[in-house]
This record gives sequence, C-alpha cells and structure tokens, in this order.
Amino acid sequence: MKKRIFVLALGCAAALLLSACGSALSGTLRVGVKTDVANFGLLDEESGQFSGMEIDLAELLRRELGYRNLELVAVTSSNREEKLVDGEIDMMIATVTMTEERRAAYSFSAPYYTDHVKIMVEKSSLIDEIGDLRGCTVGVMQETNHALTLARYLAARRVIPDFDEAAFVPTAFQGGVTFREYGSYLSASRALESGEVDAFIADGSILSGFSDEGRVLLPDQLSVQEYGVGMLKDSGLAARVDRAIDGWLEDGTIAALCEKWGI
Amino acid sequence: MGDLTVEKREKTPQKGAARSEFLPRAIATVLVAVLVVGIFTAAVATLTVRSSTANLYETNRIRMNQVIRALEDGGVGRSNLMTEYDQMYQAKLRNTVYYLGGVNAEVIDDAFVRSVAEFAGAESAAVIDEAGNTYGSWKCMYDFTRNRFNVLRGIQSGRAVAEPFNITSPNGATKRFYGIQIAPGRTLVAVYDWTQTKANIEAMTSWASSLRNMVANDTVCIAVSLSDYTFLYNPIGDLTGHGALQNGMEIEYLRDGFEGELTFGGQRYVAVGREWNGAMVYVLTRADTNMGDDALMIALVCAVLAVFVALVAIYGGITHVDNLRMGRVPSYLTLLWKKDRDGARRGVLNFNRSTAGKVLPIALIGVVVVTGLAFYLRSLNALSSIATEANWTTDELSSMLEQNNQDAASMNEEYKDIFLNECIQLKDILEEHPEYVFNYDPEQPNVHQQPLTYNDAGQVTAGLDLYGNLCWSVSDHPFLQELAEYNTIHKISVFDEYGRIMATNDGGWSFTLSNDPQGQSYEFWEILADHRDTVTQDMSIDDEGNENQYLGVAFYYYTVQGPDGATGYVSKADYQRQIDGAWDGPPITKHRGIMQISIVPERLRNITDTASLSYVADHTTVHGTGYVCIFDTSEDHLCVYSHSATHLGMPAADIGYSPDAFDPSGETYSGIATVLGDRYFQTMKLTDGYYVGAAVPMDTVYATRDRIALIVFLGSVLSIAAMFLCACCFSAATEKRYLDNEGTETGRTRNEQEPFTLTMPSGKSRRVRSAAVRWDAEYVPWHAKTPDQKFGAIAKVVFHGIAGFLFLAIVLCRLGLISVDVINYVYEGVWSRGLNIFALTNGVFTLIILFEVAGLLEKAIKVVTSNAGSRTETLGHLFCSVIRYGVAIFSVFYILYLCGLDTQSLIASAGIFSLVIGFGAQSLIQDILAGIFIVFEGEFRVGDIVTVGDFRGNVLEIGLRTTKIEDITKNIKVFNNSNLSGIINMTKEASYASIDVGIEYGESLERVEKVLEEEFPAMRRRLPAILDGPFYRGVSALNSSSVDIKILALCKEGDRVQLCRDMNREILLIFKKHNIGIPFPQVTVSYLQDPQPDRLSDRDRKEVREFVEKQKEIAPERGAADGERG
Repeated sequence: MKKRIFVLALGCAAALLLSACGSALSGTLRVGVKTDVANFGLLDEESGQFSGMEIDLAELLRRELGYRNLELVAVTSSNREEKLVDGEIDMMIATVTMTEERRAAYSFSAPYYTDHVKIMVEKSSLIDEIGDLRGCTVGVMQETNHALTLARYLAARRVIPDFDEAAFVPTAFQGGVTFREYGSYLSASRALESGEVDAFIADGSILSGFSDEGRVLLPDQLSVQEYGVGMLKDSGLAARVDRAIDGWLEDGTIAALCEKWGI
Repeated sequence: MGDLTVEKREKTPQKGAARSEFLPRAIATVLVAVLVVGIFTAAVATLTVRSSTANLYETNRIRMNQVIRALEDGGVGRSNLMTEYDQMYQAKLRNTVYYLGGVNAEVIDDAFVRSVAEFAGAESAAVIDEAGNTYGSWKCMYDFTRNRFNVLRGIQSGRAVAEPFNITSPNGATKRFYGIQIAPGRTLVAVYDWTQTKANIEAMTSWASSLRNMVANDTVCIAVSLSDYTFLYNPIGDLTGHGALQNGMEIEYLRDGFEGELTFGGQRYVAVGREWNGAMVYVLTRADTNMGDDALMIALVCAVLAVFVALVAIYGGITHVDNLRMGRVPSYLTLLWKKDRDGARRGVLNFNRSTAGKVLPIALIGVVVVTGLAFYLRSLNALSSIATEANWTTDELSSMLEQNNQDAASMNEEYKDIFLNECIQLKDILEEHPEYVFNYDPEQPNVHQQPLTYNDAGQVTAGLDLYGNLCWSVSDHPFLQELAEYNTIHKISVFDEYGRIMATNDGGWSFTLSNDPQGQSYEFWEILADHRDTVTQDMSIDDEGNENQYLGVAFYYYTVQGPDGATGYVSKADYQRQIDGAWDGPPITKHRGIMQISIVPERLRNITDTASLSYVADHTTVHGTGYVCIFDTSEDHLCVYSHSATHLGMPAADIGYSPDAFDPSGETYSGIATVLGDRYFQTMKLTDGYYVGAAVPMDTVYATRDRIALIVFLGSVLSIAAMFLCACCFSAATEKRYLDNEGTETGRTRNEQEPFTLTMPSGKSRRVRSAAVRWDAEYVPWHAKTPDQKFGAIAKVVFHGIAGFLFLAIVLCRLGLISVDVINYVYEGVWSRGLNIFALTNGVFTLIILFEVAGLLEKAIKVVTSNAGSRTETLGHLFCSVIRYGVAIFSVFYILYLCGLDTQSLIASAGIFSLVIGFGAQSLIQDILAGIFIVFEGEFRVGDIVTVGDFRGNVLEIGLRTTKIEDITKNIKVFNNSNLSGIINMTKEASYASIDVGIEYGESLERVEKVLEEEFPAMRRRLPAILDGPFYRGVSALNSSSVDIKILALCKEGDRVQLCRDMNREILLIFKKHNIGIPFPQVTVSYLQDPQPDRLSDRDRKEVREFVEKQKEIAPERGAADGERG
C-alpha cells in the first residue's frame, strides 16, 4: 500500500516537471545568417550545409533558449532587416554592425565580435597609401556606412576637402572621391577586378575572403565594427540573448569560438 | 615428484558425491581461466594498439617535414615558371617591336598595333600614353585610364617593362597584361589569354603535383584551403575541390599541429596536420594496415596463453578427479588454518604438492613460450613491414628516376624548340633591320678588322668581302647585348658566309667555325653549306667547366656596294623589292650566314635540376627516419647521393654497404647491415645506370618490441601463476571429501602402457615403461589411463591442433586463398640466407609442414597395412622408417642451407664421408641388407613363432637393422639381422605335442594299450587344446628302468608346451585309476655290521699327527694342487 502511494506521487511529480519544461522544448528558432562570408556564415552549395562562427553561435543560442529546432535562413546585408521586420526570422546573426541607427531601430545583444573596416586595392593600381585614393572610385556595400566613414577619414587627413555630412549621399558624393554601391560582396569584388572601382571598402573579415595574389590591403583601419545579434525591439528573447552572450564572453565560450574559426 | 600415500578408511564411500563434486570446482576453474586470459588479452591489446598508433604518429610527423619541403620547392617552382613565362612573353614583345622597326611615335596606328599583336601572338594590344590615352589598338576593349592599369602607365617613370598582372572576368577567363615602353611616352600593352596557361602552370605546380608523389605504401597527403574550406587536394574518393567540412573534416581539425584520426571513404586514418601558405596540409596513414598484423600477434599470443592456462587447469582437474575416484588423498600443505565447531583444526586453504610438482614445468614452459612468441612475432611483424616498405621505396625511387629521365628528355626537346624560336625571332629582326648591327663604322672602338689570310702567291684569300672591302666584326655589340639580356640568352653571334664572326655580344670577334670534325662548332658548317637550316646542339660542358647549349639558324644578309665602294647592308624587304622589280638601288647580293645563340647556364640548370638524381631522391619518402642512398656503377660503387654530404664520393663499403648489395642483374637486394654502429635494413636496386637504395634504422623498429615483450612476460607470469594456484589449491570442503572418500574404484588394473619405478644401480629411481610396449602402439582406453597419460593425450591433441592450424594457414596462404603478410614475406621476400629471423621462420614453417605431412603419411601407411597381411605390414613399417630417416636428414640439410651454408658442397663431401663411414659401418650395412632380404624372401614375418638358437618366441618387429623377438615370459631379445642364422620357423597351423610315459617291465603292454584306447576320447574331450588325437605311437624306448611309450596329440604351436603338461597330468591320473605303475629307479642301501677297530697306539697317533702337520708346512703353495686353484 505504501509502495503504491509512493509510485503515484512520483508519477505526478514527473508529469508536472515535464509539462513545465515541455512548453519551451518546442518550436523552431529561426536565425538569419550570411552565406558568403568565410568563417562567419558560409553556405556550401553542394551539400547545403552552413558553416561558420555565427552558425555555431546560433546553435548555442538555440540550446540556451530552449528551442527544439534551429532553422537557418539565408540573408544578405540588404534584406536581413527586412526579413526581421517581416517576421521571417527571429533574430539576425549575420555580421550585423551595430551602428547608432540600427541600435535605435532594433534590439542588440552584447557584441560578440569586433572587426575593423579596411580597404582593399589591386596591386596593379599602384595605390599603396591612403593619399593615393584622391580622385579614385571606391566600392562600398549597400546598407553600410562605410562611405561616410571613409569620407570622414579622408577629410581628416586632408586627402579630400571637408564636406557636409548631413547632405552626404554615397552615390552622389563629388568631393574628391566617388563611391559606388554594391549589393553583394562578390559583385564588389568583381568590380575591383575589372577596374570599375579602384578600391573596395568592407569589414576586414569579409575582405580576407576575397584576397588573392594580385590584391593587397591598405594598412589603414578605419573604424571599429562590432557585430551583435539583432532582434526586434519587442522581442521577448532580447534580454535572455543578451545575458547569454554576456555570460559566454566572460567564460570564454565566445573566445573559443573565435579561435576555432581563426578569427 | 611427490609420491601418493594411500589411506583407507572404514567409512562408507560417498558415491553420489563424486559427480556433483566436479561441478563447482570445474566452474570455478573455468571462471578463473576466462578471467586471467581476458585481462591478459585486454592489457596486451591495449598496449600494442597504443604503441602502434604512437609509431604511426611519429612516422607521419617525420614525413610531414618532407612534405613541407616538397611544397616549398613546388612553390618556388611555380614562381620560377611564372618568371620564365613572363620573360618569354616580354622578350617576344620587344623582339617584335624591334622587328617592326624601332618605332617612332608618329607611325603608331591601329595597323601597326595589329601587326605587333599578330607577330607577338597577343590576343589584343594597344599603345597608350601616360594618361591612358590610346593611340592605336587592336581588339582592345579596355579603358586604360582606369587606375587598374596604372602599372602599365607607370613605366614611363624609368622602368622599361611593366610588372605583369592578371584580370579574371566573371566567366572565369583570365587575361594577362604586359606592357613595354616602345617609344618615349608610348607603352605597348599586349593582352594574352592566360586561362589555359594558368591551368597548365597550376597543373605543373599544383597541390596535386606536389602532393601526389608524397605517397608511401599506405600513406597519402591531403590539403584543405583555410579560406574556403575546400579540399585543395584529396585523392581519397576524388574529393579535390569539394567542401571539406561536409566530407569528413571538422573545424577543430583545421589548426596547425593537429594530430588525430580522420575518416574518409569509410577508412580510418591517423593524421598529422600543419598549416602552410593559407592551407592545412595533412599526412594520413591508414590506421588498419598495422592493425591486421597487430591483431594476429595479439590473437596468437593470447591463444597460446589460453592453451597453457587450459593445460594447467586440465591437469589439475584430471588429477583431482582421479584422486577422488581412487580414494586417494594427495600429499598437500595447509596454508591457512581455521578451528571448526568441535575444536579440530581444519585447513581452509590447502596446496596440493603433487599436482604442483607436475604442473610447474608446464607453467614455466608456458611463460617462456608465450613471451618468446610475443617477442618473435613482434620482431617478425616489424621487420617484414619495414622490409616491404623499404622495398617499396626502392621500387618507387627506381620508377621515379626512370620517369624523370623520360620527362627530362622530353623537356629538353621542348626547350630546344623554345630556344630555337627565340633564335628565329632574333634572326628575323636582323634580317629586317641590319642597320641595328651592321654598317660598321671603323671609328667605333669595338669594330675590328678581320684578319687577312694570304695564299702562296701572296694574294688575299680571306678578310675581304665580295666587293673587295675589308671585313669587319664587332665585339660587345650594345644592341646584341640588349637583345641577349632581355631574351635571357648568354651569347649571340652572327657568322658570315665564310664562317667568320661578323658581330657578337661578347669579346670573341675573330672566332671562326672550327675545321676539325671533332670540334664543337664544326656542325654549323652544315648551315653554310645549305644542308640544314637549323642546328640545335645538346648541352655540353666546355673546358672551363661551364655548361653551354648552342643553337644556330640560317641567317640571310643582303649586301650592296655603296656609291663610295663601301659595303652596305640592306634589309630583306629591300631584296624582296628587287625581286619584285621595285628596287632601284645597286644590285643586292644575298648571303647565307648563321645566327647562333647560346643559352644561359642558369636556365639550363633549372630545367635539368628537376630531373636530377638529387631532386628525385630529395622528394622520396622513406619510412620513419630512413634515407635514400645512390651509388654509381664503378668498381668501388662511389656514392653520388646521400642525406649526409660527407658520404658523397665515398666508396660504398666505407659507408656500410657490402658488395653483395650490388646485384648487376637488376634484382632487388635486401639485408641488414651495421653502419657506424647502428643497424639498418637496406635495399638496393640497379636502375638506369645507378644503384638506388633505401636504408631504414632498426632501433626504431625494436623500440616498442622490448616493452611489449616485457608486458607479455609479466602478464603471462601472473596469468599462469593464477591458474597454477587455482589448480593446486583446494578448500576445506574438498579436503574433507578427500579424507572421507573411499573412491568408486578401489583399484585400477595397471595398464600395460603405464610407467613403473625402476631403481638404477646408482641408487636413483626412474620411471620407465616395459620394453614390450615401447614399440607397441596399443590403445589404452581413457578410463584406464593414469592422470599423466590422460594429460599427455590432451597435450598431444592440442599441439597437433596448433601445428595443424599453422599448416593449414601456410598452405592456404601459399595457394593464395588468404593473405598473411608475414607468411608471404617469409616465402617470397628477398632476404639473404643467414642466421636471421626470416631464415629461421622459414625453417620452422617448412619443418612443421614436413613433420605434419610425414606424420600423416606414417599414420596412413600404418592404417592401410595393418589389416593387409603381415608381409605388407612389415613393408609398411620399413617404409615408415625410411620416411622418418629421410625427413630427419632433409631437415638437417635444409636448416643448414637456410643458415647460409653451402649445402651442395656439403652433400658432395657427404659422399666421401659416407665412403669413410661405409668402411666402418660394414656390419650396419650387413644388417640392413639382411633385413631387406628377410622381408622380401619371407623367411619369417612379424607374428611368426621362431626359435633362434635356444631362444623361442614371437617375432615382434623386423626393423631395418634389428629384429625383436618376444618370448612367453615377455622377455624381448634383440637380434642383429645379420646374426639371424639357423632360424627355426615354428609357425604352422598345428604342431604335435608328444609325451613319453614309462611303464613297468612287468606290466602287460596290451592291457595298457586297451586302457589308452578306452580313455583317449575322454581325454580329448577334457583337453580342448587337442585338435586331433591323442594318438598312441607305440614303444619309443626300452629303458633301464621303464618301457617308454609315446603319445602324440595335434595342437596349435602356441598350445603345445602347455598341452604336454596337461597330457602328462591326464596320463598320470589315468594310470593311477587303472593301477598302472610308472617305474622309477630304486636305490638299495647296505651298511656294514661290524666295524673293525684300528690297532694304533697313542704314540703312533702322535707321530701320524706330526707327519700330517709337517706335510702341510713343506710346500704351502703346492697345497694348492687339485681342487684349489688360487
């Protein structure tokens, strides 16, 4: 008799516990990731597999947040925010630089990676220092603020005259250097190859994926780029994600990830 | 050895206890056995695998160094090749420009650019200025104002040639851009389609070409790009170009210094990884090839251990069972005491001394055998795998060398074509623009007058040209020097139609083609004689040791006599105009000369280097820390390549290679030699005029062997000791059973085959078997065997099983049905005869096969002949002897042969030896011959009853030399066959037993005969041995005391003696019954009635006494007369 009551009690307790966990152990976490950035988010066409530090981070978050499944959605720099807003993805882990603008619009976690903006040129163009960029055409990525950053940098060094930042539009800028915008890194790289642009400005980590024997990076490091996990402002996940990433920064998980991917 | 004490108690035997008694003990024994063998196997297996794997990693690490070196060389090769290509194209462009007349800026237009492009073989071309403006272009769509092309325009600031660069378009096509300054402010840009060339260069210097050769027996190299994680090279499953992370790599593996296991295509590899030049390079070795050999070793060693453990256990078990059955209490020692309830001391742990004594030798042998086996197998494994690898390396080296020589030959041809082309370009330039070089101004410092030569009449025969003008030649010509520099040519010389130099870029202005047919330049006369248009010579070394390669083409120059009488040089175009009728100058004469160039030695060296011996040898990997050595075919076999520079030029013998290693027939030699104190396994093979070989140090081979042998030793000691104790110890309960047991059989009949104890005269005692059973293979049933015999039978079965298994393995392997590396190598491997492990192994294997086959044959013969009559049986026996002796002699010779002794001469000398022996072994020969004749003539056979001299018995065996006869009391007399004369063969179906009985003279003979007639039938019935009879044969003798009558009866020979006795008995009883007396001699005794006294007085008696005493003293020695022979 005693035995029976005990078993029954145990069963009830188990059921309660399970039901408590069960609510989180369901559902799919949809994360937007890059497909063309080596070491961060790279998609192998053949096998359909993603690889990179951000992919690993997504998996860690899935576990941390208690989701059963992880769905990786391919995004580009131009459509990632759109997808977030549309609800196609729950968060973006896609080399999203946390600019002031973006911070205003979205909720970000602590930065999980710090990078610099760099400039890549062809050796045959004989551009070997920042001053040579005067009068040149520079390729930039859409939806980034690199053009402005570079213009400021050049102005500060008297390579180009000062200009009005408020009226700055990259594609229309005429103040000593011209900009061209590109939607994908590949197209920007091709433009550099053909000579359509004389320089290509992007995050250092991305540029390393496009380097070859005929290209070289200028020594200048333009600005610090911090990558963070971007979510909608009203997302219930933001706090937990932030906490998680803080924790991983402290305990070395993130550092280990960076070491693993050689970044 | 202990003796058994037999105690009988008056207690009831516990019959039922016997069977249940066995079970717990048996279970305990089996458990212990399984446990010890299991632990041993696990320990040995783990250690072996770990050390094998450690070996693999070490090997891979060493190989990785060679791989990195090869890659670095490859990288250098690639940049060399690129430089070569660039130089070629740029030279061609410049040649073209010169050919087209050394342009001035105004002439440049699209047509000019087009002709340049066509001549230079460019896809498109343009002429631009500093700003990027185009002045002429052909098929050129590029906007040269773009910064991308700055480098082309930058040449204006002092550089003559722009740094070439590539542009790759999105569809994958690559173009290479060259720029040269052709006029002040003007750059000629030529664009070449580089796609194919790039692919060619890639193919020649790619990861594949570098890594493809870094392959050993079971090792392969792969490379993974660190920028896009694709396989730069992966031959396994053809994964080159595919994503690495999705095909077996993990990101954790992609770090410098990685060591671990990878799996590709289902195969496990042990890998060592290193980062190089933006990629991860791995050396992979298959993890399982060694595994097979290791597994075999572990299996064998553990199986043998299990056998010995089992034998120990079985012996203990059999003895225990036997003791219980016999009711014996074995002699034992109590190790642990305990007081039981009634205060009596009980032994809790007892140690059976007698069993221990018998089992100890088995245990010790077991330890020695298991350890020895592990040691031996490990050595064999390691050696044979190293030998295989060294052989493989040597073969690889040979084939690489041959391949490289072929490649070198074709590369030479290719380069000759390239050089020839360059020569033709230069010739074209000068033919079109002789003014660059000719039209000499005698005022110039380098213009020299050709020496004049005179004939006997004092006339000039040479030194004047067609027009009677002096001939000049120019040395250190600046234009030729410029051409030479950017075409990377060493020397350019232009010869006139007389074979004299007209112009050259170095100092030899007076050189004339040699008239000596052996001279190097003699061949070029062929051009002047219009026999050939080109001459390409092979590379040669001049007197100063410089390498040169000369090429020459027919070169036409056109002369006119100028208005001032001087010789003028005009162009080919002018001459063409003359032909066309459009020339209105003085007549042009065409002359045939030679344009000759010689190639820069460095260029040659680059080409020949890769085909060279040292390059090939440098890029061959050898197992572990082994190395490659190459020797020439001279008498002393001088070293032409070695890892150590000091060896170069030394004779092979000084470096530790014996003359045996150099086999001119092309066979691969392999052997072990000591070089500077270290032992090496060496292989050598003649290839293409060189002896190439590999040497692998042996100490690395044996490094782990000793450790493993030690572990095996300890393990086997512990395991067998554990089993030993288990077999010999028994509990208190068992002790009680021993003491209480009466035994189910209170005695066992002694079986014939059992040994008994014999005391020698020296006092020692030995256990021997009776003579009768030594040659008798009589079967003793199991239950009748002693424990020792039982154990012996089991051990025999086990060892026959092992031998049989080995026999099967060897036969299957030789037939090709299974593959065991060791067996294959031992039988096929080329190892030298001598006291080495392979020879001994071969000997052991061969002898096992031989003995097994011989044993089976003997058994078969015995079985076949045993039922086929005694003659066949004897023959069979003889045949078995022949087999045995034959096998023995063959074994001895074979072992000697394997040990390297020259058995042919040994056998030859054995002939003389046998002659010597023969003289001394006459009686042996006689015996053998007598034996042969006995068998074939059938004088008597095995089983016959014969009498030889006074010895009567059964023939037990007719051997080669002796015959054994066994009498009724089981005594065996051994006769030499030659002494068997006067044999009475008593084997017949029936004999006659005859007795002689005496009757009294006074008896009535007829009455006795009547009694006999009546009693014979009854007698016959009572004596079943009588086959026929008894018969009364009459009176045999009229003796002094009796009348003897003879009675015969027919019986079997074997019964005869006993039947005589029986008949005696019967006749006695019959006579008694019928009152017939048997006489016997009687003795009559008579005695004297009155004895007569002698009449001697006392004095007489005294005299007599003295007389007698004196007689004795006279001649004591003569006292020894009759009867006493001292």
